[in-house]
Amino acid sequence: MLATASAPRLNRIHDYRISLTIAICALLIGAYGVFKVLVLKEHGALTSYVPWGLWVGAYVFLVWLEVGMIISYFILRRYLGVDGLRLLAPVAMLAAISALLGALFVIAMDLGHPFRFWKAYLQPNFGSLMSWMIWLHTLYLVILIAELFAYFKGRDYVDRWKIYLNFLTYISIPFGILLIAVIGGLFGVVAARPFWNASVLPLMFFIASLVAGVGLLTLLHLLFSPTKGTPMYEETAKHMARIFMGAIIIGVVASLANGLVIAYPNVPAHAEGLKLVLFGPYWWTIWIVHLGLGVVVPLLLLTFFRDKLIAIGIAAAFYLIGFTMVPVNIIIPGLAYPMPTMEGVMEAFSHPKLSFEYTPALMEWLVVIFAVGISLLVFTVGYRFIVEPYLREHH
Amino acid sequence: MRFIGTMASMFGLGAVAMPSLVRAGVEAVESGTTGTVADTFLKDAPEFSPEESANIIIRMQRELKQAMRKPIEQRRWVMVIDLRKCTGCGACTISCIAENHLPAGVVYRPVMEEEIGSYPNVSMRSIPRPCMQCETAPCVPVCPVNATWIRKDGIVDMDYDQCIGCRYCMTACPYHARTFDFGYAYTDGTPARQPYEDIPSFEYNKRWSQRRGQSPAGNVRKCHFCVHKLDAGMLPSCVTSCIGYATYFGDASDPDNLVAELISRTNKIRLKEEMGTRPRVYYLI
Repeated sequence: MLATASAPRLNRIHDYRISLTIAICALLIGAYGVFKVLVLKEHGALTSYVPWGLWVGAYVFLVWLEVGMIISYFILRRYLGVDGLRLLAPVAMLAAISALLGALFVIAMDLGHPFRFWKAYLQPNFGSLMSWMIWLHTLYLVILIAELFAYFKGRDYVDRWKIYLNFLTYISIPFGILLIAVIGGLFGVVAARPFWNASVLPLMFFIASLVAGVGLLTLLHLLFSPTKGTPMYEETAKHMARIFMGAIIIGVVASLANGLVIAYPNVPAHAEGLKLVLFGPYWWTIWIVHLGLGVVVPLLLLTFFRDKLIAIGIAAAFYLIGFTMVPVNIIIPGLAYPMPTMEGVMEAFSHPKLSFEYTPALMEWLVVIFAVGISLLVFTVGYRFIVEPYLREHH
Repeated sequence: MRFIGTMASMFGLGAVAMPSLVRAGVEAVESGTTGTVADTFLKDAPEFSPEESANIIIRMQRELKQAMRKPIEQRRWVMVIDLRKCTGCGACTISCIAENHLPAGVVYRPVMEEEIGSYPNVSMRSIPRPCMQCETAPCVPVCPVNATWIRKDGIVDMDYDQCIGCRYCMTACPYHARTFDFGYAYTDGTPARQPYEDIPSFEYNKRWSQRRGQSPAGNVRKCHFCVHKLDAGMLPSCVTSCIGYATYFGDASDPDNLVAELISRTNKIRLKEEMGTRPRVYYLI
């Protein structure tokens, strides 16, 4: 454990026993949801007209986080010269690997036949962006694991492993960008869904990913940076706070621009999804959770308390909590209304599964909790037994 | 009397005896005693006299049989639905469910109601919505495992054993024509599952169980123009069950066929034609 009596207050939070306890609790609680999917073959509250919901949203969120974090780390370190993040590299890579594993699990649970997941690898149709997504996701995961391995080896065989590390770092960036673009494209190319098709989703996803990544990186620095207790730690945190604030503003401007492009022509098929987001039954998710807690509160904290580490930490945590609403508010509203000329389809044949109304069921939440438990468990164990001993020994 | 007898055998063939015939055909194919289901049954499909062929159903049946003698790539199946004749009775929806043993929550051919105008100048029309079997089907290229494709005769086919249930095709369909089989039964919540829920279906010329966890449960499903019946030389169920003769079906590649005549009219439309999906289902308005 890195926690020491003299360490700053935030330093104690990453006590691995707390983290491990939370992870195990998440796995135990979520196991019931996984049991319902794998054994009872249930699919929650999804319907034939809203076939993607919370699970796909959780997948997108986790991928945004990890890819965005890796890319923003690369930009901050290599191009903006934030040297205080140097020792955070293994923590960031481990966090990314953990998030990727959780994401892969949750998307496998979303399948009607989860045990046929292998077909996506062995019998892919590369004309489908979903095949690209699955392959890129897995390759990216392998690259990150190799990168982490090369990072640890680098000290012993400096030259050879450093070359490997550099190579892997440089290829991980285009792979990450491609993965995000493919996931954005996966939704954006669906001409049948005007709310998705009207946006430049690959670009939007990339911006969202970077913003979320900066938020997570700020939080990771505050919680896990080996430079804790040094002037560099505080200086880097304040530097990150400024960058984070800029990233939030860029994210808001991009979303606003995208929303206006959809809304301004007032084409009903396009604007309907946006209306659902802003004024539909789940209006509070965007106004209160995302914009209120996730944007306004962090911006206020970063404006008025930018020198206080605890405020920066709370701002990053609130931002990430609020940001969970972004993918679900893109995916679900795009599906939750009938296409033009097909308005009567829901009334044409009645069944609860032939509905445009969708509220995630408890079991869906449980599966997401299980996936988060997987990510947390991998991160906690990896940090405790691999990253932390390494950092203690070398730094 | 002869006509009535022929009609009775036609409807009987489609509604009652057909599943057992197809089942026998599937068994024959599975056991390797014959090449295809069509080989087994085309020779048994009824022949009609010229007088009998004056009836639309019988004419379409005859044309279907002629089309089945052509190589598959030369057939161009087309469905035409006359909205002026459709009464919205739902017989096609029900016969489709019975034919394909669709479980609760799965529907291939709902009939939408459209209200036009406002009181006192108001009218209503019914729009059956099968799978459009699009020539450029948006649901096909998005499938990550090639579980759905366009057959040589234009029908959008599926392999339930290959489908992983990702539902990407459902988001891509602009007609909401694909539904997900959640594995529900009509007797869920009742004291006992009834035997009729365990009767297999014979879609795509294969035997499919109706058990949760086994395909087609957990798969995406859609109308397939009753391809198992077509291959046996019979018309789709929605066509033979339509009380107003509002649904026509046939091979549009033959200019003498009824559907070829119908789709050459100016009062035909296709749904969401602006999307460029080129549906094989036409509506007469």
